[in-house]
Amino acid sequence: MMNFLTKTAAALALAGMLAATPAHAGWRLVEAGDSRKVARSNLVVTPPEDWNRATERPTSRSEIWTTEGTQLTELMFYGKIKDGETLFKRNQRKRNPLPEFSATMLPTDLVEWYEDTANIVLGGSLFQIVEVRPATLGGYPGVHFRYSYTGGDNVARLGEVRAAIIDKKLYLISFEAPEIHYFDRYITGVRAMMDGARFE
Amino acid sequence: MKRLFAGAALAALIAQPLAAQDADQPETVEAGQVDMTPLPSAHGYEPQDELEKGLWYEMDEAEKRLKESRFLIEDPELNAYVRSVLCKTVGEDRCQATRLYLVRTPQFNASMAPNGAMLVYSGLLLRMRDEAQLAAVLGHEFTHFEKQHSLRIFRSVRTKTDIMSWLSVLPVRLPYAAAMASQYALIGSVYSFNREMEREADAGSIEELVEAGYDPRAASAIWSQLGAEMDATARERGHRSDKNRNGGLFATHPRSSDRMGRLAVLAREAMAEGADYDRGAAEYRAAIGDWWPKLIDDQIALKDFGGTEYLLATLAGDDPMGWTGDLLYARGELYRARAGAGDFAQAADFYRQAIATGQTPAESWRGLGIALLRSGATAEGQAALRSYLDLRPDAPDAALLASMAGENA
Repeated sequence: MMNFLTKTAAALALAGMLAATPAHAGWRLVEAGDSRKVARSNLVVTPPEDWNRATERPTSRSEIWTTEGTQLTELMFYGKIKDGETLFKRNQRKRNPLPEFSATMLPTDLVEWYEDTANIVLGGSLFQIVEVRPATLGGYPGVHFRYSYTGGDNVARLGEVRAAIIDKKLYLISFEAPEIHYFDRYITGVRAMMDGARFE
Repeated sequence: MKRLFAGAALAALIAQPLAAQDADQPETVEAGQVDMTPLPSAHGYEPQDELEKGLWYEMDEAEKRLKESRFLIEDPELNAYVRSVLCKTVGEDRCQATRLYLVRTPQFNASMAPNGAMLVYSGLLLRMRDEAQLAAVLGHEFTHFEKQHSLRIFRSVRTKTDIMSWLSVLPVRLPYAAAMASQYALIGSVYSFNREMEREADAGSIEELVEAGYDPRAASAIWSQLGAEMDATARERGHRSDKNRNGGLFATHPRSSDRMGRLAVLAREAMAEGADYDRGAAEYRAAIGDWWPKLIDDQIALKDFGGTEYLLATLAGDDPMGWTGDLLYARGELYRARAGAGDFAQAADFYRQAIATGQTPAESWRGLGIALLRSGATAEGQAALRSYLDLRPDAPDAALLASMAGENA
């Protein structure tokens, strides 16, 4: 009960819904130009401006960064998601199963999988894919897409995702922020990070 | 934090949902123990005392916030239609006390707050087979409102000293839907009424249906459909059915099977011999028509294979000829999304059948193409994707599909 209230009282960004960073998580500065491996994988990104990374991981395969707090800017990295795994932690395995990643997914399936996950997590339907195009991640063919949604806080958000399946494992970078001000303020730098991501 | 809890306590008490979650039995208030005059549906009704005034104040504030929600369906035609069914059911005079809000959310539910704000979820609109069923639900909720059931519960709870201990038995089982639901938590929150109140609302809805000329048997049909859907969901997911677990519509007391039987008896008794009762199936389909593809998309997105498969079959009327292009397309999407062994071939089959009806969304070609690619029929799949791109050159994923279709985008 308490948990329910605490959860719904907060304004929640998508990943925060399930993969909320614990309150005691610490934050560490990632300085502009500082290359880092993310999500316990060999994926390396270089932020063009300062970011903060959480010391606690939402799941063992992901990592969360922010500049202004996750309600306002939420940058997620996912690495080495394997066949049969889900994007977020499975909280309600039976009654609200999250869709599982499959290594045989086509790029369009990846987009739908992300959308389905969001719909289940949000319990609703104002999630919309705005644009999808072919793209690369670290030199591997993948997909880039943009979406919009409104969560329980009635804030309209935009998000962009770059993803690719490499050697049967999924690598994904997502960024989302309120449509007003925050998304536009950061998206150029985020895209540069997605474009410049490489594998070591 | 304290304020938050107080607000939530209130939220949980106030609205009168159709399908309240969980079967915990909070507080028993005998039906009929409160003076019933004047009725809140009467013209110019004002709250009677401080407690009711406070309740209305909170509800009015919550209603203001609801008006800002992006989840409201604003389509004037659809709103006018649902309102017309309500007004036909309870009469023009009484329906003036109601402000109707259609909320875009795939769950099956409806609720009515004590200040006259009625919420109808789009998931309910998807599941009703005809106007008479919609009228049965609206009549049921309206009876809760007119008999002031939530106000009576609220009064009884106010006498409790320890509100937190009371809170602990509140029915709250909104899973991942919580984020969205919090927007209208106060005004449309889930709550289970006691047995007498549900009986009163059931009886009330039968009276209203007969009065309005609707077939009163519609009421028991709804419960049996929903029960079967819950069974189907549970079978596929391997958990126990929620059918006998939920409060409200599926209150543990009276048990849903008793309730279905009793509704059927009430309906039989209420029907005059030789009289003609209306189901309004064609009218209902026409009114929902434009919205249907969106509502079924919302449902498919929930990834409830068992429940959705059952729902599609009931919408087809359990009749092979009832499978329209839209339904077949939806079934293709459902199988493709499950992505189990044989599902892509099965999905491709449904898309083909959908396309053969000549009346199906262009997305059937998209689904067919992807399903074929997934099952290894590359050339055929690419051809289907090209057909889709011919029909929808401006699709959001046109560039990606073009590359998958082997075109140089």
